[in-house]
Amino acid sequence: MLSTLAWQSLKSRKKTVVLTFLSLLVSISVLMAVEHIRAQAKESFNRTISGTDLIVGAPSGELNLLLYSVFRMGSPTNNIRYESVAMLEKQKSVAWTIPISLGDSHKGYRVLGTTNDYFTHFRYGNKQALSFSSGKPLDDLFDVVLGADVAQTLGYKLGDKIIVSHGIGATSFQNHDHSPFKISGILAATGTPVDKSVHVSLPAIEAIHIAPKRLDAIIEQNRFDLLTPTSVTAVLIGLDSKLATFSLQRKINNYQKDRLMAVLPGVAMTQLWQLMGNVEKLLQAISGLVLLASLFGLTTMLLASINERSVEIAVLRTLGASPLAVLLLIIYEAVLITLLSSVGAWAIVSACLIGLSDWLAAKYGLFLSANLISANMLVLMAFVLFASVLAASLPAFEAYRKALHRQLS
Amino acid sequence: MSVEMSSVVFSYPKSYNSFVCDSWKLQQGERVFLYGPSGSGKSTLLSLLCGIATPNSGTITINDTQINDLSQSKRDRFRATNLGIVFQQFNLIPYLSVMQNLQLSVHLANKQSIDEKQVAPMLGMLNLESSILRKPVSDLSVGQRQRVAIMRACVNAPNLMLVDEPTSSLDTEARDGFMQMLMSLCEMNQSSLIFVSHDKALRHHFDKHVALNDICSWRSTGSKTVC
Repeated sequence: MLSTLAWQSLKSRKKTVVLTFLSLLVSISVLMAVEHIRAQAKESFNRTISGTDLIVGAPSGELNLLLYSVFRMGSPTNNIRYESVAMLEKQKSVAWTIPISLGDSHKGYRVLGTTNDYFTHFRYGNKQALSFSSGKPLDDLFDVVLGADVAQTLGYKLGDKIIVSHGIGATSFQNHDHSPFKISGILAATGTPVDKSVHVSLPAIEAIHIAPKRLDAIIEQNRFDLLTPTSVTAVLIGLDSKLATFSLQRKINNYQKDRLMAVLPGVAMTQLWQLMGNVEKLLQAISGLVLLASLFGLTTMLLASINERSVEIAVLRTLGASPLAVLLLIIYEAVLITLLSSVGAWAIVSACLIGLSDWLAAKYGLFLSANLISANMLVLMAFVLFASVLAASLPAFEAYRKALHRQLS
Repeated sequence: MSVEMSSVVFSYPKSYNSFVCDSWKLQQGERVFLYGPSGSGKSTLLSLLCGIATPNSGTITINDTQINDLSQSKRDRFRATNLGIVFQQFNLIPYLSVMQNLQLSVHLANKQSIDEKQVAPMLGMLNLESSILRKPVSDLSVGQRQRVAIMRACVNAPNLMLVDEPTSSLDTEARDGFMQMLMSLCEMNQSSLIFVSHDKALRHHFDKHVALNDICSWRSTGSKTVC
């Protein structure tokens, strides 16, 4: 009965209640989104690479190297010489190397030049290997292997021909349309930037960049050795034993014949968290303040309603409702509005996550799940409800006082 | 004995005037017309009787329960179960339907929920259509509201009805009809009735008439009189 009363009472004050609801809806949505992205970003980044012991690239920041080689974010500052890849391969502690070459795109998706070692040795998440949902690794010069999202979004099938362009925008002035690629394989979804990548061989990257006539000549004369790359962007290295990591890193950093820098993915990732930590805290603080503002709005709405509801309170008292029941009624209303706002916010944020997941993944390399429910989120919601009870306590006490001292008629 | 007041003294906070009622009794089932001009203490007496105000000293006994000794929550519960109260206005919650108002009253008295069938006899006596039960109170006319107010006051079959000038907003014809309905409902529930009014025209409905200043009065207790 108390719930019917509270519900009908809210309905009778539709305008102010709806506005308060909207203000809470927005603030709780912000709070949920920040909390979710915060938690998921960490997980999303952490699962992107595993099993790689060192990343080698041209000297720049450790973080920069990690971002462009693994997350396909930003642009490489410089390349390293192809001979250095061979040198790295020869190191006795090295189990495998994956050279990667970046800088080209296909309809906004980054093109990654690499070798078939990529499909064999690259690991993500909990040391999971890449697997093909259809087709096979690179074989011919113009073979291409697509990430799951690329194939799905662009509607490509095995055997389709695609064109790769230079630069990384979605539209490019220079379409390398002389070199049509054929899709030889499509990878299974991983929830990492791999899904957004277009994989080709290293010679294919060279082929894209030479003059069409010269390429025709090379193909005619079967001189594919001329397509050997001169440089690559970075090399991912797996070691036989983790113990060798630091000595190899030192050796690479001191290598004389090329300017190289080796970073440990874990160390670079830690830098990333330190950087993000402050942004995280700032976002949390802002969303907290937004919530606080809305809760003040809730208090104001309830407090203003107490005056217009003095009739209602008098009637309730006449009927034998205790002042405590009147107090509980106000609290109940606040909780009801907050609960409805929370459910609404959950629906909105979930819908946004579903709608924006492709864009977030393509633009920021963030792979977010649309499932908002986690232990953290439940704790947060419990806190929001508790805060709404606090916000309602002042008007509720006002109503209590009014109920207690109200004279009849 | 339905109501018994003895040596009741009551004063509002910060007031030097005291409301004093030495001795007054009402038998079970008796219906009394309590006449008093404005300012004679009608509201104060009603507040004391229904337990919203408590006397500074003295005792108020209703149906053998000394209500001034009860705790706040027990007094509220006692009011919900034993008293039916009708005021000039503000008897109903405007945004609830008539039926929801009745159910709220039943709920607060801790009784089993009622359905539309159970209130049908009262509807008949009050000359109301059953379709009114689903209407929100804010859609009713003043006359309908007052009849619904009696219905709500009677829904828990109270031992004592306290009625305060319910007819002031009704015309003479509606007023006589209203009085008759009130009387027959009290008859049905065998409730005692205290009917407070400043309008002597209504007293022919009652056998027993009492002037308020015969049973209680205001007395100054301090040197300063606060009005």
